[in-house]
Amino acid sequence: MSGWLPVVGALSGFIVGMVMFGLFKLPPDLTSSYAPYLSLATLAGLDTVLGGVRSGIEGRFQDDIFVSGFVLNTLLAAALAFLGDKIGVDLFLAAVVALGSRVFLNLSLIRRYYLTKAALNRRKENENVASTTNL
Amino acid sequence: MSFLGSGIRHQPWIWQVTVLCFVLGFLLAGSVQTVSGLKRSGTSGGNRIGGIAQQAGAPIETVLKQQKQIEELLKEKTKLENSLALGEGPQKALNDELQKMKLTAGLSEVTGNGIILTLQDSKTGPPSNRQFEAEDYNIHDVTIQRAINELNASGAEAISINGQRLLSRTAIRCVGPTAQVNGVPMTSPYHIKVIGDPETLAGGLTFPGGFVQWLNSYDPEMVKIEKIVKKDLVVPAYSGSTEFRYAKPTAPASQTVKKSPVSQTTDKDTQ
Repeated sequence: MSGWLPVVGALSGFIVGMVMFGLFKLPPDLTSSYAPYLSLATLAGLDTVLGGVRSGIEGRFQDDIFVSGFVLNTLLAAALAFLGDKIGVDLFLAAVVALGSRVFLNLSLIRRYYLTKAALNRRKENENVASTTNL
Repeated sequence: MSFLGSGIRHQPWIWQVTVLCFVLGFLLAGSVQTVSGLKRSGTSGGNRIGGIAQQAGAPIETVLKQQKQIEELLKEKTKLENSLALGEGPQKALNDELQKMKLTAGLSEVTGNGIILTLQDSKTGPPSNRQFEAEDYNIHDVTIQRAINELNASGAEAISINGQRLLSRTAIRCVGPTAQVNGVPMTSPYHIKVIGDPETLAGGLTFPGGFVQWLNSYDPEMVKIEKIVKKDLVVPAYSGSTEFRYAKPTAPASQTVKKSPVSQTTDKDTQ
Protein backbone atom coordinates (compact mmCIF):
# COMPACT_ATOMS: atom_id res chain seq x y z
CA MET A 1 0.00 0.00 0.00
CA SER A 2 3.00 2.33 0.13
CA GLY A 3 2.03 3.59 -3.32
CA TRP A 4 -0.70 5.70 -1.76
CA LEU A 5 1.70 7.40 0.63
CA PRO A 6 2.29 10.52 -1.50
CA VAL A 7 -1.45 11.07 -1.80
CA VAL A 8 -1.91 10.62 1.95
CA GLY A 9 0.99 13.01 2.54
CA ALA A 10 -0.48 15.68 0.27
CA LEU A 11 -3.91 15.36 1.85
CA SER A 12 -2.61 15.54 5.42
CA GLY A 13 -0.41 18.53 4.50
CA PHE A 14 -3.44 20.24 2.99
CA ILE A 15 -5.53 19.62 6.09
CA VAL A 16 -2.78 20.81 8.45
CA GLY A 17 -2.32 23.92 6.32
CA MET A 18 -6.06 24.62 6.17
CA VAL A 19 -6.33 24.30 9.95
CA MET A 20 -3.29 26.45 10.54
CA PHE A 21 -4.09 29.23 8.04
CA GLY A 22 -7.85 29.05 8.25
CA LEU A 23 -8.71 28.39 11.88
CA PHE A 24 -5.76 29.76 13.81
CA LYS A 25 -4.83 32.54 11.34
CA LEU A 26 -1.10 31.81 11.54
CA PRO A 27 0.68 33.89 10.43
CA PRO A 28 -1.93 36.61 11.02
CA ASP A 29 -0.77 38.80 8.13
CA LEU A 30 -1.01 36.22 5.34
CA THR A 31 -2.29 38.84 2.94
CA SER A 32 -2.67 39.34 -0.75
CA SER A 33 0.93 40.44 -1.19
CA TYR A 34 2.08 36.86 -0.58
CA ALA A 35 -0.49 35.24 -2.86
CA PRO A 36 1.64 35.13 -6.04
CA TYR A 37 4.67 33.79 -4.13
CA LEU A 38 2.67 31.07 -2.44
CA SER A 39 1.06 30.05 -5.72
CA LEU A 40 4.49 29.85 -7.34
CA ALA A 41 5.87 27.79 -4.47
CA THR A 42 2.91 25.43 -4.86
CA LEU A 43 3.58 25.10 -8.56
CA ALA A 44 7.30 24.45 -7.94
CA GLY A 45 6.37 21.80 -5.37
CA LEU A 46 4.01 20.11 -7.81
CA ASP A 47 6.73 20.13 -10.46
CA THR A 48 9.28 18.60 -8.10
CA VAL A 49 6.94 15.89 -6.84
CA LEU A 50 5.97 14.82 -10.36
CA GLY A 51 9.63 14.95 -11.39
CA GLY A 52 10.50 12.75 -8.43
CA VAL A 53 7.83 10.20 -9.27
CA ARG A 54 8.98 10.15 -12.86
CA SER A 55 12.66 9.63 -12.00
CA GLY A 56 11.67 7.01 -9.43
CA ILE A 57 9.76 5.12 -12.10
CA GLU A 58 12.70 5.44 -14.47
CA GLY A 59 14.96 4.11 -11.71
CA ARG A 60 17.29 7.10 -11.49
CA PHE A 61 15.97 8.82 -8.41
CA GLN A 62 18.56 10.82 -6.46
CA ASP A 63 17.51 12.38 -3.20
CA ASP A 64 19.96 15.31 -3.33
CA ILE A 65 18.72 16.36 -6.77
CA PHE A 66 15.13 15.95 -5.59
CA VAL A 67 15.40 18.11 -2.45
CA SER A 68 17.73 20.75 -3.88
CA GLY A 69 15.52 21.00 -6.96
CA PHE A 70 12.49 21.72 -4.82
CA VAL A 71 14.21 24.34 -2.65
CA LEU A 72 16.02 26.11 -5.47
CA ASN A 73 13.06 26.09 -7.88
CA THR A 74 10.83 27.57 -5.21
CA LEU A 75 13.34 30.25 -4.25
CA LEU A 76 14.11 31.14 -7.88
CA ALA A 77 10.42 31.39 -8.76
CA ALA A 78 9.76 33.63 -5.75
CA ALA A 79 12.80 35.74 -6.59
CA LEU A 80 11.57 36.12 -10.16
CA ALA A 81 8.15 37.22 -8.96
CA PHE A 82 9.75 39.69 -6.56
CA LEU A 83 12.04 41.11 -9.24
CA GLY A 84 9.09 41.32 -11.63
CA ASP A 85 7.13 43.31 -9.06
CA LYS A 86 10.04 45.70 -8.62
CA ILE A 87 10.68 46.38 -12.32
CA GLY A 88 7.05 46.25 -13.42
CA VAL A 89 7.33 43.20 -15.70
CA ASP A 90 5.29 40.13 -14.85
CA LEU A 91 8.38 37.92 -14.64
CA PHE A 92 6.52 35.38 -12.54
CA LEU A 93 4.76 34.39 -15.76
CA ALA A 94 8.11 33.00 -16.95
CA ALA A 95 8.26 30.73 -13.90
CA VAL A 96 4.61 29.74 -14.34
CA VAL A 97 5.15 28.81 -17.99
CA ALA A 98 8.41 26.93 -17.38
CA LEU A 99 7.17 25.01 -14.35
CA GLY A 100 3.75 24.41 -15.89
CA SER A 101 5.18 22.89 -19.06
CA ARG A 102 7.46 20.65 -16.97
CA VAL A 103 4.50 19.49 -14.90
CA PHE A 104 2.68 18.46 -18.06
CA LEU A 105 5.80 16.79 -19.49
CA ASN A 106 6.39 14.76 -16.33
CA LEU A 107 2.74 13.84 -16.09
CA SER A 108 2.69 12.62 -19.67
CA LEU A 109 5.79 10.47 -19.09
CA ILE A 110 4.27 8.92 -15.96
CA ARG A 111 1.06 8.27 -17.85
CA ARG A 112 2.93 6.59 -20.70
CA TYR A 113 4.79 4.36 -18.24
CA TYR A 114 1.59 3.04 -16.71
CA LEU A 115 -0.22 2.71 -20.03
CA THR A 116 2.67 0.70 -21.43
CA LYS A 117 2.76 -1.45 -18.31
CA ALA A 118 -0.98 -2.07 -18.50
CA ALA A 119 -0.69 -3.01 -22.16
CA LEU A 120 2.17 -5.43 -21.39
CA ASN A 121 0.16 -7.05 -18.58
CA ARG A 122 -2.82 -7.51 -20.86
CA ARG A 123 -0.70 -9.12 -23.55
CA LYS A 124 0.87 -11.43 -20.97
CA GLU A 125 -2.57 -12.45 -19.70
CA ASN A 126 -3.75 -13.11 -23.24
CA GLU A 127 -0.70 -15.28 -23.82
CA ASN A 128 -1.37 -17.11 -20.55
CA VAL A 129 -5.01 -17.68 -21.53
CA ALA A 130 -3.92 -18.79 -24.96
CA SER A 131 -1.38 -21.19 -23.51
CA THR A 132 -3.88 -22.64 -21.02
CA THR A 133 -6.50 -23.18 -23.74
CA ASN A 134 -3.89 -24.88 -25.87
CA LEU A 135 -3.33 -27.40 -23.12
CA MET B 1 -4.04 -2.61 -6.47
CA SER B 2 -1.67 0.04 -5.28
CA PHE B 3 -1.33 3.40 -6.93
CA LEU B 4 2.25 3.18 -8.09
CA GLY B 5 2.39 -0.53 -8.79
CA SER B 6 3.92 -3.29 -6.73
CA GLY B 7 7.28 -3.26 -8.45
CA ILE B 8 8.38 -0.01 -6.84
CA ARG B 9 6.85 -0.57 -3.46
CA HIS B 10 9.77 -0.78 -1.08
CA GLN B 11 11.99 1.82 -2.60
CA PRO B 12 13.24 4.74 -0.48
CA TRP B 13 12.21 7.48 -2.86
CA ILE B 14 8.55 6.96 -2.13
CA TRP B 15 9.10 8.31 1.39
CA GLN B 16 10.84 11.43 0.17
CA VAL B 17 8.10 12.07 -2.36
CA THR B 18 5.61 11.63 0.48
CA VAL B 19 7.34 14.22 2.65
CA LEU B 20 7.42 16.67 -0.25
CA CYS B 21 3.79 15.94 -1.01
CA PHE B 22 3.07 16.97 2.57
CA VAL B 23 4.89 20.26 2.00
CA LEU B 24 3.04 20.66 -1.31
CA GLY B 25 -0.32 20.18 0.37
CA PHE B 26 0.67 22.69 3.01
CA LEU B 27 1.59 25.30 0.39
CA LEU B 28 -1.60 24.55 -1.52
CA ALA B 29 -3.65 25.23 1.61
CA GLY B 30 -1.83 28.55 2.05
CA SER B 31 -2.56 29.51 -1.56
CA VAL B 32 -6.20 28.55 -1.26
CA GLN B 33 -6.56 30.55 1.93
CA THR B 34 -4.97 33.72 0.53
CA VAL B 35 -6.88 33.57 -2.74
CA SER B 36 -10.21 32.94 -1.02
CA GLY B 37 -9.34 35.79 1.34
CA LEU B 38 -8.86 37.99 -1.73
CA LYS B 39 -12.18 36.90 -3.21
CA ARG B 40 -13.94 37.66 0.06
CA SER B 41 -12.61 41.19 0.00
CA GLY B 42 -13.93 41.68 -3.53
CA THR B 43 -10.68 41.57 -5.49
CA SER B 44 -9.86 38.73 -7.81
CA GLY B 45 -6.81 36.57 -7.28
CA GLY B 46 -5.44 37.30 -10.73
CA ASN B 47 -5.48 41.02 -10.21
CA ARG B 48 -2.14 42.11 -8.82
CA ILE B 49 -3.46 45.57 -7.91
CA GLY B 50 -5.99 43.80 -5.69
CA GLY B 51 -3.93 44.39 -2.59
CA ILE B 52 -4.29 48.14 -2.82
CA ALA B 53 -8.04 47.95 -3.36
CA GLN B 54 -8.31 45.61 -0.40
CA GLN B 55 -6.48 48.03 1.84
CA ALA B 56 -8.75 50.86 0.71
CA GLY B 57 -11.89 48.92 1.58
CA ALA B 58 -11.69 49.00 5.34
CA PRO B 59 -11.26 52.78 5.91
CA ILE B 60 -14.44 53.54 3.92
CA GLU B 61 -16.47 51.43 6.34
CA THR B 62 -14.73 53.11 9.25
CA VAL B 63 -15.48 56.55 7.86
CA LEU B 64 -19.17 55.74 7.38
CA LYS B 65 -19.39 54.40 10.93
CA GLN B 66 -17.67 57.44 12.37
CA GLN B 67 -19.94 59.76 10.39
CA LYS B 68 -22.95 58.12 12.03
CA GLN B 69 -21.31 58.64 15.40
CA ILE B 70 -20.65 62.31 14.63
CA GLU B 71 -24.29 62.77 13.63
CA GLU B 72 -25.50 61.25 16.89
CA LEU B 73 -23.03 63.25 18.96
CA LEU B 74 -24.08 66.48 17.27
CA LYS B 75 -27.73 65.78 18.05
CA GLU B 76 -26.81 64.95 21.64
CA LYS B 77 -24.84 68.19 21.87
CA THR B 78 -27.80 70.27 20.69
CA LYS B 79 -29.99 68.57 23.28
CA LEU B 80 -27.51 69.34 26.04
CA GLU B 81 -27.15 72.95 24.91
CA ASN B 82 -30.91 73.37 25.04
CA SER B 83 -31.18 71.82 28.50
CA LEU B 84 -28.41 74.04 29.81
CA ALA B 85 -30.33 77.14 28.85
CA LEU B 86 -33.59 76.53 30.67
CA GLY B 87 -35.78 79.49 31.53
CA GLU B 88 -34.99 83.12 30.75
CA GLY B 89 -31.87 85.19 31.07
CA PRO B 90 -28.45 85.48 29.48
CA GLN B 91 -27.98 81.73 29.13
CA LYS B 92 -31.11 81.42 27.01
CA ALA B 93 -30.12 84.37 24.90
CA LEU B 94 -26.71 82.87 24.31
CA ASN B 95 -28.17 79.49 23.39
CA ASP B 96 -30.70 81.04 21.03
CA GLU B 97 -27.86 82.83 19.29
CA LEU B 98 -25.85 79.61 19.18
CA GLN B 99 -28.71 77.63 17.62
CA LYS B 100 -29.24 80.38 15.05
CA MET B 101 -25.58 80.23 14.13
CA LYS B 102 -25.68 76.45 13.82
CA LEU B 103 -28.70 76.78 11.54
CA THR B 104 -26.80 79.25 9.39
CA ALA B 105 -23.73 77.05 9.31
CA GLY B 106 -25.67 73.93 8.36
CA LEU B 107 -24.82 72.07 11.56
CA SER B 108 -28.41 71.36 12.54
CA GLU B 109 -31.05 69.24 10.84
CA VAL B 110 -33.80 71.40 9.38
CA THR B 111 -37.30 70.76 8.08
CA GLY B 112 -39.88 72.74 6.16
CA ASN B 113 -41.37 73.31 2.71
CA GLY B 114 -39.27 72.99 -0.37
CA ILE B 115 -38.57 70.90 -3.44
CA ILE B 116 -36.77 67.69 -4.26
CA LEU B 117 -34.84 68.08 -7.49
CA THR B 118 -33.78 64.76 -9.01
CA LEU B 119 -31.05 64.74 -11.62
CA GLN B 120 -30.06 61.54 -13.36
CA ASP B 121 -28.09 60.41 -16.36
CA SER B 122 -30.15 59.92 -19.51
CA LYS B 123 -31.02 56.26 -20.02
CA THR B 124 -31.54 56.60 -23.75
CA GLY B 125 -28.53 58.70 -24.70
CA PRO B 126 -28.31 60.85 -27.80
CA PRO B 127 -29.85 59.84 -31.15
CA SER B 128 -27.52 57.74 -33.25
CA ASN B 129 -26.57 60.60 -35.55
CA ARG B 130 -25.51 62.79 -32.60
CA GLN B 131 -23.22 60.43 -30.69
CA PHE B 132 -20.67 63.22 -30.25
CA GLU B 133 -23.09 64.76 -27.73
CA ALA B 134 -23.04 61.69 -25.49
CA GLU B 135 -21.32 63.57 -22.66
CA ASP B 136 -24.18 66.09 -22.53
CA TYR B 137 -26.58 63.29 -21.63
CA ASN B 138 -24.83 62.64 -18.33
CA ILE B 139 -25.08 64.66 -15.14
CA HIS B 140 -21.72 66.26 -14.39
CA ASP B 141 -20.39 68.29 -11.50
CA VAL B 142 -21.04 71.46 -13.48
CA THR B 143 -24.67 70.42 -14.02
CA ILE B 144 -25.17 70.12 -10.27
CA GLN B 145 -23.26 73.34 -9.62
CA ARG B 146 -25.50 75.19 -12.05
CA ALA B 147 -28.63 73.87 -10.34
CA ILE B 148 -27.28 74.81 -6.89
CA ASN B 149 -26.44 78.28 -8.13
CA GLU B 150 -30.00 78.81 -9.44
CA LEU B 151 -31.48 77.42 -6.23
CA ASN B 152 -29.40 79.74 -4.05
CA ALA B 153 -30.47 82.65 -6.21
CA SER B 154 -34.09 81.60 -5.62
CA GLY B 155 -33.81 81.80 -1.85
CA ALA B 156 -32.84 78.26 -0.88
CA GLU B 157 -32.19 78.07 2.85
CA ALA B 158 -30.80 74.56 3.18
CA ILE B 159 -29.63 72.15 0.51
CA SER B 160 -28.48 68.55 0.64
CA ILE B 161 -27.33 66.30 -2.20
CA ASN B 162 -27.91 62.60 -1.56
CA GLY B 163 -27.80 63.26 2.17
CA GLN B 164 -24.74 65.55 2.11
CA ARG B 165 -25.54 69.00 3.51
CA LEU B 166 -24.10 71.87 1.53
CA LEU B 167 -21.95 74.30 3.50
CA SER B 168 -20.07 77.41 2.53
CA ARG B 169 -17.00 75.20 2.18
CA THR B 170 -18.64 72.44 0.14
CA ALA B 171 -16.99 71.43 -3.12
CA ILE B 172 -18.90 69.63 -5.88
CA ARG B 173 -16.54 68.06 -8.33
CA CYS B 174 -16.13 65.05 -10.63
CA VAL B 175 -13.58 62.48 -9.57
CA GLY B 176 -13.41 59.76 -12.18
CA PRO B 177 -16.88 58.35 -12.84
CA THR B 178 -18.39 59.77 -9.65
CA ALA B 179 -19.21 63.21 -8.33
CA GLN B 180 -17.94 64.10 -4.89
CA VAL B 181 -19.86 66.33 -2.51
CA ASN B 182 -18.05 67.15 0.75
CA GLY B 183 -15.51 64.56 -0.40
CA VAL B 184 -18.16 61.81 -0.41
CA PRO B 185 -18.43 60.04 -3.77
CA MET B 186 -21.90 59.59 -5.26
CA THR B 187 -23.41 58.67 -8.60
CA SER B 188 -26.59 59.36 -10.57
CA PRO B 189 -29.40 59.79 -9.59
CA TYR B 190 -28.74 62.87 -7.49
CA HIS B 191 -31.58 63.76 -5.10
CA ILE B 192 -31.20 67.42 -4.19
CA LYS B 193 -33.38 68.43 -1.24
CA VAL B 194 -33.92 72.16 -0.97
CA ILE B 195 -35.79 74.05 1.73
CA GLY B 196 -37.34 77.34 0.69
CA ASP B 197 -40.51 78.58 -0.97
CA PRO B 198 -41.45 75.71 -3.35
CA GLU B 199 -42.94 77.97 -6.02
CA THR B 200 -39.96 80.33 -6.08
CA LEU B 201 -37.46 77.48 -6.14
CA ALA B 202 -39.26 75.67 -8.95
CA GLY B 203 -39.69 78.93 -10.83
CA GLY B 204 -35.97 79.65 -10.59
CA LEU B 205 -35.26 76.40 -12.38
CA THR B 206 -38.04 76.34 -14.97
CA PHE B 207 -37.97 79.82 -16.46
CA PRO B 208 -37.59 79.92 -20.28
CA GLY B 209 -34.00 79.28 -21.24
CA GLY B 210 -33.27 78.16 -17.72
CA PHE B 211 -31.83 75.05 -16.14
CA VAL B 212 -34.72 72.64 -16.72
CA GLN B 213 -35.25 73.74 -20.30
CA TRP B 214 -31.55 73.27 -20.97
CA LEU B 215 -31.63 69.65 -19.75
CA ASN B 216 -34.99 68.99 -21.43
CA SER B 217 -33.41 69.86 -24.76
CA TYR B 218 -31.38 66.67 -24.33
CA ASP B 219 -33.67 64.25 -22.45
CA PRO B 220 -36.70 65.27 -20.29
CA GLU B 221 -36.06 62.19 -18.13
CA MET B 222 -32.88 63.74 -16.75
CA VAL B 223 -34.58 66.24 -14.45
CA LYS B 224 -37.55 65.93 -12.12
CA ILE B 225 -38.95 68.46 -9.65
CA GLU B 226 -41.16 67.45 -6.75
CA LYS B 227 -42.73 70.22 -4.65
CA ILE B 228 -43.09 69.54 -0.92
CA VAL B 229 -45.74 71.76 0.71
CA LYS B 230 -46.53 69.77 3.87
CA LYS B 231 -43.47 71.07 5.74
CA ASP B 232 -42.12 67.56 6.03
CA LEU B 233 -39.00 67.87 3.90
CA VAL B 234 -35.97 67.10 6.09
CA VAL B 235 -32.47 68.28 5.20
CA PRO B 236 -29.83 66.56 7.35
CA ALA B 237 -27.10 68.31 9.30
CA TYR B 238 -23.52 68.37 8.11
CA SER B 239 -21.58 65.56 9.77
CA GLY B 240 -18.04 66.10 8.52
CA SER B 241 -15.11 67.94 9.96
CA THR B 242 -15.65 71.58 10.94
CA GLU B 243 -12.08 72.20 11.99
CA PHE B 244 -10.45 75.45 10.96
CA ARG B 245 -6.68 75.19 10.79
CA TYR B 246 -5.72 78.55 9.30
CA ALA B 247 -8.60 80.99 9.74
CA LYS B 248 -8.73 82.68 13.14
CA PRO B 249 -11.28 85.32 14.11
CA THR B 250 -9.73 88.78 14.28
CA ALA B 251 -9.44 90.11 17.83
CA PRO B 252 -12.87 91.21 19.00
CA ALA B 253 -13.37 94.74 20.35
CA SER B 254 -14.26 93.45 23.78
CA GLN B 255 -11.96 90.86 25.33
CA THR B 256 -14.76 89.50 27.51
CA VAL B 257 -16.40 87.83 24.54
CA LYS B 258 -15.41 84.19 24.64
CA LYS B 259 -15.01 82.37 21.41
CA SER B 260 -16.90 79.14 21.09
CA PRO B 261 -15.87 76.42 18.64
CA VAL B 262 -19.09 76.84 16.69
CA SER B 263 -18.71 80.57 16.19
CA GLN B 264 -15.40 79.88 14.45
CA THR B 265 -17.13 77.88 11.81
CA THR B 266 -19.83 80.40 11.03
CA ASP B 267 -17.92 83.33 9.70
CA LYS B 268 -20.19 83.68 6.71
CA ASP B 269 -23.64 82.84 5.57
CA THR B 270 -24.02 79.25 4.44
CA GLN B 271 -26.55 79.65 1.73
